[in-house]
Amino acid sequence: MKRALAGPALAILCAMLAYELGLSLLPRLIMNATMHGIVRRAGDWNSIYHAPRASASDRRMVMPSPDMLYSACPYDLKAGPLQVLAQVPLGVYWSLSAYDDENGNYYAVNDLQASGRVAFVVVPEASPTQAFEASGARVLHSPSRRGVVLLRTLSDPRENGAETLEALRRESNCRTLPAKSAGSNDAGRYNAAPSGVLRRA
Amino acid sequence: MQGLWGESRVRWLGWAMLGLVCGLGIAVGRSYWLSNFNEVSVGPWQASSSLGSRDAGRLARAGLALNGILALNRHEALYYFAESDSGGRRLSGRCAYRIEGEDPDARWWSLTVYGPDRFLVRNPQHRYSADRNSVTRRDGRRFVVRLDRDLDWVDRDWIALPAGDFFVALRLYNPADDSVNAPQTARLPEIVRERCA
Repeated sequence: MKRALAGPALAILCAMLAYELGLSLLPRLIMNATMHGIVRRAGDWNSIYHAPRASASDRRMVMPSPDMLYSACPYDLKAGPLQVLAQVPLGVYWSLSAYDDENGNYYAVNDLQASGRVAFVVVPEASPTQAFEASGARVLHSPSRRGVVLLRTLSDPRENGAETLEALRRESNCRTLPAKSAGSNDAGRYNAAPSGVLRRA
Repeated sequence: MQGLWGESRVRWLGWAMLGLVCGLGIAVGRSYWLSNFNEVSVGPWQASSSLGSRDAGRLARAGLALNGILALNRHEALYYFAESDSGGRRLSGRCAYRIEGEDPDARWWSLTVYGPDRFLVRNPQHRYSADRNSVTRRDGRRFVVRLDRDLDWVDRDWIALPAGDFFVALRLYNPADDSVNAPQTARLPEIVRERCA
């Protein structure tokens, strides 16, 4: 009798283990697949990918918003901090959001809280940030080494100005900052640019 | 003896594999279907207040990764989903609907139709969504967006439907504080079934 129940007991034990492990690993596995998908299109980590507007023929990501233009920087902080130079349009919804490697949205800022050309620097948690802050950059503390910075720009293709917004968002970019730039103005140099130069047609 | 041991080992491995597959299947299934997308209800609309949140529980986080990758946290955006009309009937492309109401209290909002595969619905006019800026308003306040397979494409306030089941996503960007703190109190439009084929 005991022998007959040993097999099912092992199966139940393994099922419980797999269930717990599955729940813990799913967010990371899915986010990893997402990040690698973006890296393939961007060409490398710490590079920006300006995705085309979502359409019905786009089957890469579920529930895309057809009203937003998405630009994404998949990052890996192994080589150094990530710098994102963003162009914030005037008068339309825009946001920059950052995600850890488990799909957690740990930072978000929108066009009501930033304007013109803005520099962001992503660093690992507990990293020194004074030098970046002194240069005018906004500093994001990433809970994980890898993640994604996503820029959203509201753009209705039926409205005037859609082409201008498309061109504008392509001026945003990201790159790995050399370690020495932490003490220079390089990290936040875009903040020196005047705001209000970006207008819809 | 060697043969018996080999046979027994295969049986143990079989039980273990069965357990692992079942456990993983239940984890994915529960995350996909039973995660807390219905923890908030407003008429036909359902929402998860933990979408995009880093404080969600393990089941919710797994479900959010499967259903809402790279979603914004609720302070930046609220996401509502409807799989049924305001009468509680499942949404179907065999019927025509109107979504009617006043603007939700948010800086910007949009309505988007998705097929059962969670992708946008193929249609020659590329009409996937309607939003705060695109809809026309009657008496300056109320809007009506029509969901139909056959409507004349020149109607601006129209979203195309698939042949089968579908669902609607309502996104509120920069929602009012009241909605952020209590998503169940948000003022959301009705989904009215008009006719069925």
